[in-house]
Amino acid sequence: MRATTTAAPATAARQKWMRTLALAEPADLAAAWQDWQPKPEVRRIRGPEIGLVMVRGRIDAGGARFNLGEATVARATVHLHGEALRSDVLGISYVLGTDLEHAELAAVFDGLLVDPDLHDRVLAEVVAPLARTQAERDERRRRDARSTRVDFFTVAREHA
Amino acid sequence: MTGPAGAPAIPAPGFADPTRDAQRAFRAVLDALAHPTRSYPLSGPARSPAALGRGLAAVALTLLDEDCSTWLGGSLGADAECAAWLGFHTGTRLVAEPADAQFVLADPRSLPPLAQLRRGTDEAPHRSATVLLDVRGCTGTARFRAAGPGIDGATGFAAPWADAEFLPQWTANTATFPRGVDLLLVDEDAIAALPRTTRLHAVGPAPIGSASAPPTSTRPAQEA
Amino acid sequence: MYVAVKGGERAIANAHALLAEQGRGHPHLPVVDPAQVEGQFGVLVSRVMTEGSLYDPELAARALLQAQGDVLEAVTLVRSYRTTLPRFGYTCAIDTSGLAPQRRISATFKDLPGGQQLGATFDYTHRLFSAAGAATPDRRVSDGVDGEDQAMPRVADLLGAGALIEPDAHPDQDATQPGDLTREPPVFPMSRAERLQALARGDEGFLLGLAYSSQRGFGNTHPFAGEVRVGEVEVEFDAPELGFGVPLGRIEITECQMVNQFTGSAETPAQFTRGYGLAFGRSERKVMSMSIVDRALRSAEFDERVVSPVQDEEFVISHSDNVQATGFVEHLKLPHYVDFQAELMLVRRLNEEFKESRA
Repeated sequence: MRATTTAAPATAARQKWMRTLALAEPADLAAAWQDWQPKPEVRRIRGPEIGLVMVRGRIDAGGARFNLGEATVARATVHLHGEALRSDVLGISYVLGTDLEHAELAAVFDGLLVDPDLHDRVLAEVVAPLARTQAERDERRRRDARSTRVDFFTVAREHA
Repeated sequence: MTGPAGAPAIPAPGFADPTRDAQRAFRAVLDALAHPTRSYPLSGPARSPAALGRGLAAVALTLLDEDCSTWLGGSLGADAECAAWLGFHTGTRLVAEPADAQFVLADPRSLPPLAQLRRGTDEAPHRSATVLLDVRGCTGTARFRAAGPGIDGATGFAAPWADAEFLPQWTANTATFPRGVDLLLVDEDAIAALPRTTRLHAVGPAPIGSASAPPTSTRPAQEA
Repeated sequence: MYVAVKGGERAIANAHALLAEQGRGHPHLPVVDPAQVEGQFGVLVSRVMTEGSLYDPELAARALLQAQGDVLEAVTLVRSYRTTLPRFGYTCAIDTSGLAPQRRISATFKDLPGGQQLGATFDYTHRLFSAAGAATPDRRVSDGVDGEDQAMPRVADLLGAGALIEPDAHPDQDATQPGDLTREPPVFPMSRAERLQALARGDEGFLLGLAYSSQRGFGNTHPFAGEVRVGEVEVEFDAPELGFGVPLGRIEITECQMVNQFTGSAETPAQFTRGYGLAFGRSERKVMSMSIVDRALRSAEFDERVVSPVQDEEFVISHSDNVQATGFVEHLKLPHYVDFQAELMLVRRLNEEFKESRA
């Protein structure tokens, strides 16, 4: 069961953009930040830093939880301050892997998205293009996998 | 701390340089435990919750993590900013009962009786509580003579944070060795320590270093 | 027992230099980049991640290069590195049916909903060397492929609908936290959750051998590969400061559900039972072995007689970790001079006594 299924709409929206930021290519995020104007002042509250999360699975896929093994995660919490912001905001990110810059930029954009005045602009200029790229990549992978779908037939008739 | 819709409460940052600052603080804690009663300088994050202060903030950032349990006493426990800050930066689990805590953060007034804290077992004496005592601004007049490992002979020791209850409690604490709690005395910019091996005696009318030698330590009877 | 020895600093430094030189290969050839290892040795990288118990393809690739391809050295590097990192917490349980799998096959149902999808597999290769330079595919595999994705329900759920297999879910299954072997040392008998954690990080070769032994008759398993899935799943982390599941990204996993015969007992009608395997990356052989061993270790649950090594929990779990195993076996090369001297003297004396008794 995923947490998203029961989340409030505001939470679900934030989960959605956090997912896009986490899945983004770090170079794409860096380019988006390069182009972003005016830049807010970014203060580091925690991190960016690397740590672990213990990945959990379920026994027999649907049963009780068990600890499968850990994964590296980079995280950051930043405090954004600037004229374009309605008020100071806190941006948070958790991203698989050890790319500190990815985590910091994801936290910055998360903060900008939390701000009501900038929300729509970030969504349109940063998140939407990233989401499109990801959707295309996913569709390509699905098509590749689909090309290996097979219909086996048994030589003897099954219900003899 | 912040909801997706609510206004964010922005926590103060932790160490400016997490690795090196924590290493420095850890060294201060080690030195303090190695030389009980001696005070070592400590530097903490510039902006830490007022209830914690710089020193306690530094020690907390250094020692606490996701795997340990912490109890906050008195004003620390009542201060929402302090609990949120500790949870955010260290990930420590806050517990409701001091007896469940691996770390006890308290000031002299809110320090629970030491006998109520975890003392470990003879097999696992490390499973005992470590007390981080906030000794800022204490004005008591208590003085002790301290002896034990890390102290050459005996040494005089001012303990403005100690009340009349403390000495008998500490004596009981040292008597259960290897079980017992360890005490870190944390000021704004300095730390001293009383590990469970340090024996304290009231400084009576006789001056320090007089004939009244400290009683020889007695090995405690093993508990059944 | 071994004793500490001193000296040899220069020899050790030279040995390190020699090791590096040997690992470099021919000096005129380019150095292999970790990204190349990650891309072109994906299965090997998966094994290092699974047995290192750390999902990070980049680090696993670096470890393999530094270890010159020694899997256990690479696993040890990964395990050592992880001890230097703080643990932020636990993820929400991954949902292995959440995303469309890359590969999904079943040996129990030919025409299952969603279909059989081979994915990237060695299964139908001819195991013949391909011509040199022919490694690059000359076409996009999906050229001309159409159609929509179909839902791929779990095979076990198809059996579960008719109560022909034991249920996987239990109403109060999330009431307690599963044990974590990286935090608390193992105590036998273990919970199945702890056992699966140990098996997941266990040595592939060891588990393969055990699974094989049970198939050959040293055990009582009659498994069918109900379903094997390979694909990416999303990972969500329950961040305390946010209070909701934060999507971290995706990890590739391989999952196997073995379906096993169970003839029933006085209280239970005959139904199929389950064995489960889950691992990081593309680790099909590992999860198939794991699911067979998992089922064999459930003998107490089903009142089965424990007669074979694969059913003995303490034997299997205590010897499945290859870092522990290699540590103990390889420690024999550490100096044992004093021990050996003592034994040598003993053997000499016994020899003398033997000769005297014959004289």
